[in-house]
Amino acid sequence: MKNEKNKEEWGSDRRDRSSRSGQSGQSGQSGQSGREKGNKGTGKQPLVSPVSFILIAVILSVLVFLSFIDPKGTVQVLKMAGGLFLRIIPVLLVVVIFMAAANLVPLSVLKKHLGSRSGTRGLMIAVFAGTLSHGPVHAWYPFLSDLREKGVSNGKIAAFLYARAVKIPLLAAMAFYFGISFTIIFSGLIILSSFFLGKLFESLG
Amino acid sequence: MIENTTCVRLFRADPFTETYNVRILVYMKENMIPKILTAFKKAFRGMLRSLPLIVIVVLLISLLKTFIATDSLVRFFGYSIFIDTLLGAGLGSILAGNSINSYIIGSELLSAGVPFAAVASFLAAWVIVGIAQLPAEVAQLGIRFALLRAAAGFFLSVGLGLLLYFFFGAGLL
Repeated sequence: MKNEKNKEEWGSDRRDRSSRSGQSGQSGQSGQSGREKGNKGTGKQPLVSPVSFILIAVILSVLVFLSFIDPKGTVQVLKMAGGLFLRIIPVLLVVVIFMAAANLVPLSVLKKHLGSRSGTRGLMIAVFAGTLSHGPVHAWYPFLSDLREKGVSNGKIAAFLYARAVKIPLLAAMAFYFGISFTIIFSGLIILSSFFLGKLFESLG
Repeated sequence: MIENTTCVRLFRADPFTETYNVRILVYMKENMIPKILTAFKKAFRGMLRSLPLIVIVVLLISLLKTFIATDSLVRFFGYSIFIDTLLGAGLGSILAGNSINSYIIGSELLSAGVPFAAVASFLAAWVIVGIAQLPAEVAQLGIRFALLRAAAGFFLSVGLGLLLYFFFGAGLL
């Protein structure tokens, strides 16, 4: 009885996997290679990559060196870093929700709307999302890397990152310091250039 | 009378509808909830993997903010429009933090006589380039992409500053 149940589960798992490989619109072999890549990208990677490990070592040695030269400054750096980190925690939680939502969206849908063949409409979506995105940019990198693994093109990611230069909540502050006409022209030019730079990155591949 | 009949039809315990509703609930329990849980697990794992890089960027920003005095930036300027614009974009790329700080520094630079083109490129580079975020961008999106994006962002900031200066002039402010 138990064996039968296990067999059924295996069957459903295999069906599920075969339907997923079918979604990517590839042949069986390439679908499988995609799956292997996906497993490699999500399940088996270590939590701290070698690059992060080296960077942490460099930053820590700089901080230790600075603590001998300027102990007060080093304490200030650590305090400021703690405050900054606490401020970005809510943004990180929002980004986790976005990442989970992206995991639920079928790959074919993501590729259709944000892949390299999505064209102008895809770039417009990326620019629009970039202007609406909130919080520090480094909180968004994991989400963007995740999207790229799912087939979103470099052009869309570049357009998203450039369009983030338009800060909608801070437009009023910008208008206060530099005037309304400067704010409108500056933001308009940034949106236009993010669109064209996105196209440039798309053509570069 | 007709309305009453419709109400009865709508709210009557229909065996077919009931079975259908139960089927939907069972389908959700068996398929949707595990999928959502797996999606969140993957997302949390991805975020955990990126956390060391985020900490590095936060530390870098704090280092730059503490050891670079922003009120003494004026002394870097005072050459030709083109060189000042390049310097503005360079400083904007190195400095990091909330954009509102760039507005305050930018308005101080303007009142100290720094050219409008340099201030515009400084404002653009602050939000577009971000040298402090570069290590995280390299690790997550690749060195070629990150460097190309930063370089294109730098030239875009210089171009924006010069374009605003030559086409609209300081009268824009």
